[in-house]
Amino acid sequence: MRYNEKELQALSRQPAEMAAELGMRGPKKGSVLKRRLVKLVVNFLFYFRTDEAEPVGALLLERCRVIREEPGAFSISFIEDPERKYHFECSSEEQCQEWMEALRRASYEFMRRSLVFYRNEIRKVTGKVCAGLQRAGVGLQVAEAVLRPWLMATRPPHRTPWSSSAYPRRPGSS
Amino acid sequence: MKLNERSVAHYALSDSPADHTGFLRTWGGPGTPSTPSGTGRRCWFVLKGNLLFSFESREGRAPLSLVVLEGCTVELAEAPVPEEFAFAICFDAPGVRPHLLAAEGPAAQEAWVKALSRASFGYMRLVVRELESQLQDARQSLALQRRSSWKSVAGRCKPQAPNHRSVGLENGHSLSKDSSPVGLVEEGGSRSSGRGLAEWELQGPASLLLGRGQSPVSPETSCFSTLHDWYGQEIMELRQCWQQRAQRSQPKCEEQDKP
Repeated sequence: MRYNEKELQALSRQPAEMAAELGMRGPKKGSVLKRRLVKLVVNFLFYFRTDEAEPVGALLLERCRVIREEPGAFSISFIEDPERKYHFECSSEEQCQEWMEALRRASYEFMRRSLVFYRNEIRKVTGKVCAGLQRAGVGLQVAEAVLRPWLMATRPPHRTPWSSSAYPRRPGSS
Repeated sequence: MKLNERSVAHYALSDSPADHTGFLRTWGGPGTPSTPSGTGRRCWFVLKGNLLFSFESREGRAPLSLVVLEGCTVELAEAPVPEEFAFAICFDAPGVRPHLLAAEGPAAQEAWVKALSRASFGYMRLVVRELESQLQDARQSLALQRRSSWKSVAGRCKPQAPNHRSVGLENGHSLSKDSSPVGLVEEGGSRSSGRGLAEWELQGPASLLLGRGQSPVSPETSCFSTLHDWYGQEIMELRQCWQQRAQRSQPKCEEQDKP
C-alpha cells in the first residue's frame, strides 16, 4: 500500500500532544528493548532514534488496544492481531498512566464518539428547556458556523476555494 | 519509515464509518509520469477520519494507497486535460506535489472538497471542544433557570440547604437508591422531591469511586474523555475481580454494591 511518507514525516515534526524518551520493543519475537523518542501527534505515534530527526516508524492509533503490562509498562496492540504487541517502558507509574490515557483518546474514532455523546447530551438538555431558553439550541450546524471563519483562515487569504473561476496555479505545482 | 500497514489496511476495510466514499480519477501512482496527463485512473476512494484510501474497485480487498490528510488544504484545480470537476490536495511540506483528483460531476466535486477540507484531526477536535462548551453553557443556563423557579416554590417545599450543590454530590448516592442504569440521570420533572440537583449526579461509577475518596464526576465534568476514564476504571476493577474470582475455588469477591 502506497502512502504519503513525506507528508507523514512532516507531520512527525508538528507539535506533539506528548513526547518522551521511552523504552520500546517491537512485536516480533526476540525484539530487544531500545530507547526511542516517542511522539504522539494527532492519531499517530511516531518513534525516533534518540539522535535522529526522521522517525524510524509510525503507528496509526485507530482500533488499537492499550493495556497495562508490568508496572510502569504498557503495550499497544491492534484489533486484528491482539497478540502482536508493541511494548513501552516508562520511567514512572505516573508517566505510564499519562501515556495510556493519552493514547486511548488519540483516535479519530474516539473523537467521533465524543461528538455523538455531546450532541446527545445537548439535545437532552435543550429538549427539556422551557420557552425562555430558545437561544440555547445547539448542534453541529451551529458548531460549523462558528468554525467556518477558522476554516477559511487556514487558506491563503487571496483564494476563495469554492469558486472555480480564474483559479491561479500554485507556484511550483505541476 | 515504517508504518503498521497491516493494521492500517485492516482499519480501511473495517466497518468503521466512512465519512465519504465515491469514484474519483487519480493521477500519480507507479508507472505514471510526474506530470499528470491523460484521463487518470478511476479508483474507489474511502475517507475515514483523516485518512483517504483508494481501492482498485468497490470490492477491493486491499487498499492501493493512503493519503494522510493533516496539514493540507483542498483546492479546485485545472485538470491536465480539459477535465472538469478536478481538485487537488495540497500540502505545505517541502517537495510534495499536490495530489490531483477528479470527481464525476459538480455535486460530487463539491461534496469531496468539503469532506476533505474537514478531514483533519484538528478540525474534529475543534468541533468537539465547541460542542463541549456549548453543552456546559446549556447546562448552566438550565441550572440558573431552575434555581429561579425553585425560589418561587420554596415556600411550599421542605427547604434544602442553599449550597446543596456542593454537599449534594457526597450525599448524592445515598439519595438515589433506585437502581437506574449507569449513566447520567435523565432530568425528571419533579422539583419538590428534594432530589433537586441530585438529578445531575452520576450513579454507579460515581458512588464506587466516592468510596475511595476521589472527587466524583460532577455536572461540570461534561468532558467525554473524563467520563470515559471513570467508566473505564470501574470496568477494569470489575474485570480484575472476576479474574481473581475465577482463580479462586470459592468466589468471595468483595465488591461495593452498586445502587
